[in-house]
Amino acid sequence: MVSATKLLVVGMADAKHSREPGQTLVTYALGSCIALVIYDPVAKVGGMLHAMLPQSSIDPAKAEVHPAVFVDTGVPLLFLESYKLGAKKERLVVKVAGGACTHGDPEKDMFQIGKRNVLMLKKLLWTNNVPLAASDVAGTESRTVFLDLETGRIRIRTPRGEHEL
Amino acid sequence: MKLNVMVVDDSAVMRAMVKKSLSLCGIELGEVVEAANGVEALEKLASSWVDLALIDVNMPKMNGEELLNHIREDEATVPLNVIVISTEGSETRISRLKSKGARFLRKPFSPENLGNQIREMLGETHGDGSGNQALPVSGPDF
Amino acid sequence: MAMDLETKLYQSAARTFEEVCFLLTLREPGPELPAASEREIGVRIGFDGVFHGALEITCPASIAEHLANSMLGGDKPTAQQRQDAFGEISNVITGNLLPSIAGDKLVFDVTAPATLEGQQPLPWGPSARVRLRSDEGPIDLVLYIEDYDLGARS
Repeated sequence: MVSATKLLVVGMADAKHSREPGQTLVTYALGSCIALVIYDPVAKVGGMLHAMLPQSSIDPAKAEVHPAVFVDTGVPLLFLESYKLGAKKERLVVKVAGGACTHGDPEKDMFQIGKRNVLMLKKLLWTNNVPLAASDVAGTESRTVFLDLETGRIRIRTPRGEHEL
Repeated sequence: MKLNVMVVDDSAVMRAMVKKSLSLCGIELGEVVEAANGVEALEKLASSWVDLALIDVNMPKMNGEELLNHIREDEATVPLNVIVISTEGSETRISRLKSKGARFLRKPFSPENLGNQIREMLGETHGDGSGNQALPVSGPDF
Repeated sequence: MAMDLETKLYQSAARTFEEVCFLLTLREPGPELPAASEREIGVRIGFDGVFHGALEITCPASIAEHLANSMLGGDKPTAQQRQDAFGEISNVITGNLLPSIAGDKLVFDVTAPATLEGQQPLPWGPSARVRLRSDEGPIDLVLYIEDYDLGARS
């Protein structure tokens, strides 16, 4: 179990970074939202984004104030802020979780926000030459994601249990 | 060891995508040579050192299956590692390609799929398996 | 039964657009023939095996540009690259579609994708037609299969 005092909580539409050894970044109850997690194993710098919607073009004013709401503005923010703490792009291990359809049959989901979030993320990574090391996306389950800043280990908790990403 | 790779596909866009996937799949890359069909591939194989060939099936002049036959008939290229990357959906044809010592990767594929195939083929002797490597920092956004 | 063929066509196309171009496409119910103004870019790819036919894909030029741009990873595509990318997409869709119709044991020969411009219309009626809706605009797919007994096979 993770000690509550060492948790750094990433809220919805938020991005946080840390290089404090022993700290754990966590974001709770991802549904169609995605958590993008980056970790530099040399600098031991980690970052986590909890983005809600794929594209900032639907509300540029909001994106200006809260870039982490959107995947296309939150992802660059996550990377650029991590460089300020000493992370290097070529060392970053990049993983994603979330993008579920938590309210029923994905086939009948008119908006497909979860899938759109994941597609936007993959497009951004492809465009910016960033490999995706692992992903745990889609499905119907809610996910809580932990990043251990000492080891870089990522754990995902769902209603069915916990596993490593 | 850096891996010299030949990408054989008649679509220039697909060759660009395969090259980009190679750069993202965690393999230590050496030189990447391109060819637009089997004839061009054989010419380039005769003049450059290639460790791995990634070849399409449907191509003009000489298709991927004919190219694979030539590769396996020539003493110099018999041991060449070959992965066929194609939209081919017929298990009959895929089995035929595999019987000639080629691996098969179905389009569409991701850089991760490609990296896994290459690592399996080479017995984990290249790259660190983490999916990470020095990347060209050329993205416009981050 | 023909509806089943359309579902297979939709599924093959949607998967391809998602995985190759990161584009989400949804199926428009009851597609009409595409308006001439929307058929700016088109490609035809033929296939020959246990049955014979072709797949045609058309869309506005802006979508073809967007697709090629996504595939190339942000570089602005040339007109040649745009056509090439569209042809490759049709190739991937066809490669996924044929085994879903005929099973994975039968062998098909697939022709190189060719631009629709200046080509004669096919002598057969469409066997399946699907219009996809995307954030970038509509994409139309028409599948032609010669003498294909939809009732017996689909």
